[in-house]
Amino acid sequence: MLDRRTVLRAGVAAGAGLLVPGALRALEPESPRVVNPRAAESMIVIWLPGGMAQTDMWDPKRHTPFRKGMKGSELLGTCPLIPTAADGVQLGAGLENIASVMDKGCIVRSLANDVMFGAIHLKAQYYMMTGYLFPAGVKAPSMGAIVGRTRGRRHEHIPAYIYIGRDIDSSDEERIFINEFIGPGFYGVQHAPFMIPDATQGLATLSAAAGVSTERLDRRMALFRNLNALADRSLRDAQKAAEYAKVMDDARAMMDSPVKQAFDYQRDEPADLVAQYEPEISSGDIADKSYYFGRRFGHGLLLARRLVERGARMIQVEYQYGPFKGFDMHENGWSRMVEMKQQIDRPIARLIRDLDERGLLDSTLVVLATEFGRTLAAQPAAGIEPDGAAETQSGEGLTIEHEGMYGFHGHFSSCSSMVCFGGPLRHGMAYGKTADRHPMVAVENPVKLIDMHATLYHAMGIAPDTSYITEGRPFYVTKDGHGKPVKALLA
Amino acid sequence: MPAASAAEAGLPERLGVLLGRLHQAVAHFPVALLLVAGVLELLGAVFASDRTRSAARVCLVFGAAAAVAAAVFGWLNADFDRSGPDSVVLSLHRWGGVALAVVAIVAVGLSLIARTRWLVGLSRLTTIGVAAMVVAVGHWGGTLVHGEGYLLAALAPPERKETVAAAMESSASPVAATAMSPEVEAILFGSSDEGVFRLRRAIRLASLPPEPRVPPSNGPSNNEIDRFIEAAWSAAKLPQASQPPVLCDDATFARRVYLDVIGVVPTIDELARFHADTHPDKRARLVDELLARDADYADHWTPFWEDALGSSYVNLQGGVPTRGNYRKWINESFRTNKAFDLFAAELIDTRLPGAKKPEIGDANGRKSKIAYIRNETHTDTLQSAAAVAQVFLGTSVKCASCHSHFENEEWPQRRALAYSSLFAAHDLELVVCEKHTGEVVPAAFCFEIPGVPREVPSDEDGRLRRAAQLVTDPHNPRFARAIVNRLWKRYMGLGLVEPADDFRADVPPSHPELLDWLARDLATHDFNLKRTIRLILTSRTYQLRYDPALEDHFDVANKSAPRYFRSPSLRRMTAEQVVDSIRVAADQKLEPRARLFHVNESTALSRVLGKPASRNEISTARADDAAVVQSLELLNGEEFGALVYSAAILSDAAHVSSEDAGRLSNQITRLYTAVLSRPPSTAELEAAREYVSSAAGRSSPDSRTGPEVLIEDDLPEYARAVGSWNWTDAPAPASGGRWRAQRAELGNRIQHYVLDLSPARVMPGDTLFVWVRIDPADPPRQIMVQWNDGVTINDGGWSHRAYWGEDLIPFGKTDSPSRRRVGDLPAWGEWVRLDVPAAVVGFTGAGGRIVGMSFDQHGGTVHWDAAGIVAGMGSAETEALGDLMWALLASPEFQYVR
Repeated sequence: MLDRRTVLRAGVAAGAGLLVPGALRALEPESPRVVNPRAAESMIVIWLPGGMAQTDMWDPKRHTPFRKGMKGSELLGTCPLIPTAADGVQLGAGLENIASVMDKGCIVRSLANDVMFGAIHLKAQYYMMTGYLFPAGVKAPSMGAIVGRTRGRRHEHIPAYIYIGRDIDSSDEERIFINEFIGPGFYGVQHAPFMIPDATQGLATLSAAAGVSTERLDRRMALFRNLNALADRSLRDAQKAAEYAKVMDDARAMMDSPVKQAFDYQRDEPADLVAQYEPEISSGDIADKSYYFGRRFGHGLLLARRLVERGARMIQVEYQYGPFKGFDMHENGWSRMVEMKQQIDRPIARLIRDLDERGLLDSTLVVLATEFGRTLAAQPAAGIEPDGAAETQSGEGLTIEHEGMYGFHGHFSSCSSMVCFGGPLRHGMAYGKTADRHPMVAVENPVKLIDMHATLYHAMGIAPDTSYITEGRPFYVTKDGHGKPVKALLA
Repeated sequence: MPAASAAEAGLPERLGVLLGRLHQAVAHFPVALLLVAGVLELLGAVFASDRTRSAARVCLVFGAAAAVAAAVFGWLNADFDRSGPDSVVLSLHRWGGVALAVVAIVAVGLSLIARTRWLVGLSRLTTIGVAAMVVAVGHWGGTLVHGEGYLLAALAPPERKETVAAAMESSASPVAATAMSPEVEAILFGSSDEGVFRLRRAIRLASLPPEPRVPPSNGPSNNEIDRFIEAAWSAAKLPQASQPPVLCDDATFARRVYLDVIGVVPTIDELARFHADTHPDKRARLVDELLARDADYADHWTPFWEDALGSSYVNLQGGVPTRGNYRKWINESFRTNKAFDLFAAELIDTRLPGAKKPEIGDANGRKSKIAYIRNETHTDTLQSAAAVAQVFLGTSVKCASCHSHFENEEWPQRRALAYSSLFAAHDLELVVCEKHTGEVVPAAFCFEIPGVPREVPSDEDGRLRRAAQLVTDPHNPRFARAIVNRLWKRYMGLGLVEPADDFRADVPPSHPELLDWLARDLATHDFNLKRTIRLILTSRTYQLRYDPALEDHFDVANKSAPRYFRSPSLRRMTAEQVVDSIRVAADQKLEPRARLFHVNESTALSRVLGKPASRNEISTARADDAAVVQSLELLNGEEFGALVYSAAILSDAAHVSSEDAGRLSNQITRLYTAVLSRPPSTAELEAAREYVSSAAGRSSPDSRTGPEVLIEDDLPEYARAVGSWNWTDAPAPASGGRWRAQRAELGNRIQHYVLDLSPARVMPGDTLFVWVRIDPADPPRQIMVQWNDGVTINDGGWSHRAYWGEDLIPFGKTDSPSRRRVGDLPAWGEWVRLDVPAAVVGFTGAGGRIVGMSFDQHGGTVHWDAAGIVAGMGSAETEALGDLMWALLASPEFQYVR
């Protein structure tokens, strides 16, 4: 019988051959071209869907406090402006921690879409995640799958694309749809994200199943291998079957891999550091618990950091978006925004600082993204404005009758902000400018999403016209391969 | 105004249309009434009796009135609501109907005034004449609705269709495929009627070019397929031409053909029956037997077509309307073996009677048509047309919808747009890479098809009808070839054309003549898929042994490399085949309602095995690559583990002791046969026996010794308890510490339960126990214990109950594991341990778990103390057999079809 060490050695040996399985070799680009010698090695996308109000956070305007009966056009900002570690760059109050690391990041304030999504969050999210409009006619792969596939694994037993913070086992239409645009699309299950629904809960598939000890698991695995060795020769000689058996070994090795060790943060990390990854507001103090995510989001970021330290390539972390939750704010958007900031500010800033202190920030690109921006809305309720209406509204005819209407509740496809830290992008700056009155469209250096994607891919060493074949034709990582990196953002 | 469109008409016109449409309903009254009147008069005349006359008169009066109404409505119908030119048949029907109404009125008059014998005779004759006219006018009307030859076509047996067509060709009515009179063309192409559809197919088939010559037989062959395949070996001078490769053995064949036809592995009994069959044609008999299992056959096809059509169980995804839910329609179509051309046509022309009718969905406050063909926007139309081309014509036009195809010169953008225009109400504008040009491309089908109408209908329904007709036309060069190629790929692993979605001139088929022959054979046999499937599965080619050295591969970099089909290609099972087959292996029966395709939920296991969570894009192939996320689920996932370790087949051995060598070997052989459809080799049997029998003596952290207590002195940490738990410590409990007292007023039921016990494994050989003491001063009439197994889809997990005393608490089903009487109430006033064999309350698999318990009583006062599990004899073996089953189910031999 094989002992466990033999098993592990077999797994390690198998792992090396797995990055590009033979059956697919012909479909890979000639070589995954690293087009940027200064490319980052890892990427963390902090996905904050729901439509972050850029006006309250990354692109704040003059603070105009609530006054009953004020005109919509008079409502410019719901919070004071605060200075940041980056000269001349201001953020909305409540983001003091992130402000203190802004010298390590840049804000793109003029991310301008030419597509009007109205209130259709999911379609806008699909666009942000894949660069293609749904339905694309092809199962479009997500940014994570693109980076994971093109750059491959950094460590042989750490999956190339890890997704933290979403539970998608469901028949729920929205959750299943989300599964599509965070997924591998036509790249197939081999490039599917390795799902970690909740960092605080560990991961069942990495630990032996309930009642099965590691010893028995290995005994069972040895039986599996013994019996396969006795099976018909034709199966051992078949390339596909041999590959299947190798990937089983790879999976077994992953159960003892750095991925599993990364979950031991409660044991390895100082308690006060772990606490820095937790929200500044407790569940008792929050107005509505439906958008309180507790330790789940922050510990996800901590896990992401530990995975990057151990050799992860691409990680996406989200707070598990639910319609009308989190940043998808309508009624009482003003007070909710205060509480949302209290939940994300400290953990995100801690992540940036941690990466920096460990010398990983230059090789790790961190991106904060959302699907669209926010603007005024005639009513706080969701989904009543016709597509494109918000994009032209000056707020002149709108009266803010009560506090529930004070805030930015309208869906704003035209303009939003994206924030990047680390990697080979320029730091300590804000790029692009938006109007100081409604509609707050981009008035200087507008950046199209396709070019923003190209910039991020370039930062990861991926050419924007990288393509993979599906249905006998190439399908590009930016639409038709036309994305152009924004030079001003590159260091 | 023959072709007035109802949509743009004013109220009077719309009213006219409505009344006109009433014609078909009203017309049935005179038909019935006047026919009865005629028959009654005829009977009266034959039997020389007047007794039928009054009844005949009543029928005649009402029939005549109805005939007048039908004539009026009919006139309106022809005027307002018919597109297409007036035909001879219409004229006959119209004037015949008017004449009928007039003659019927005359007949009424005669009938009323007939007093003399002579007049009665005349009246009778007129009425019978009216009845005869009804037959003629009715026939012309039927022809208008259903098409020429509708009745004849029904009479003709399938293989005689060509004869009917030929007969019609030589008859007075000229219906040759290439030169049709406008009237016949209008009938054949002008309606969405199934009878006309079949007739058109029959007529069009008559002009197909002759079938390709089948090569002479040079070696062993079962049918034409083998002769084409062998001819290619000879032509390439392969050694197989003189030394044919051997067939797979019976067990491999059975497994292969079960998985291919009904999507699951055979049961042990089914396999034994096949092995016992001594007929020389036993393989063909098995193919026929499986093809006749209509429902199972349809269940296996359903997920393929759900993928291919983009069927969705919701009407809206990501704010975008879907194509709707075709699951039932697909299943029904395959259960009845619907002709494949009709299947495709019904998706496009939803006025065909068997079509799934479009639904109206509410998308973001706007009403949208939910149907396979979506054409509300330019992009919708392009994607629908591209989907039809890809799935039904094996032709990729997606690229060409935005710009001329970069890689395939056959597809300039204008050709793709002209084709797409057929699927919309209006011709499409040329939009080059999102730039509008203002140029409109007139609709035209993408292939030159002889003998079909040139002009394109101007309305949406007419266009979709025409699109359906052209896509499925027997002269369409791709339609039949695309589907026979898909069948070939499905059963052989690789197509005669690869990729199967992208037929093109510069990538020839591996066997062009075979492809043509199969396509023609399908078309000339009513597009009966089962016929082609049978041809493939009974061929020698399909039955060859899998040989990795001989199997073909497709390389996108070398698309023209030959394929010889000297061995089938190894195929990964689909998610549905894997999960459904595990259930068959576990329970030794196929439970149709439990098949995976019914399940809308997406789980980690179904996703990693390749079942799409949502079908928002069409797909005709699932990726079959191995991936680490998938292996982890197989290796260690809860879902896969639960499927394996709860297998009923494992509990056959619940009490097998390892010393009983014969029984253990039998059990291992049963497992091998259930999972891999073959017995183990001697070496395999030895390895498995060694694993299972050494499990008993092994001491591992898993080995369970002594009773496991689930609840005793307190609620476990994290437990969620319901009811008030009266913890007490007097009188002395059974095991020290505390216990709880439960009191119910007589007749009341009391139920205290606790969930979230730390999950405990339970084996069929285990004993479940609970300590109780009945208060002698206040005894209950019944006590009950319930165990929750965490499988929440069954009664929230509460599906295991034992009770003592009367049968008063109504949970579960009496005399079943959900409510099992174990005995009388125990003696009063003393602590008693009540034991229940786990198998008796339904813990029959090796993967049972207890996550919650409930303590119930009917009246009285009961003291409850420790409860838990005592590990039984033989459970270590059962667990080891579970490990063996896991190893077999996770093996490549199970996961792949060879």
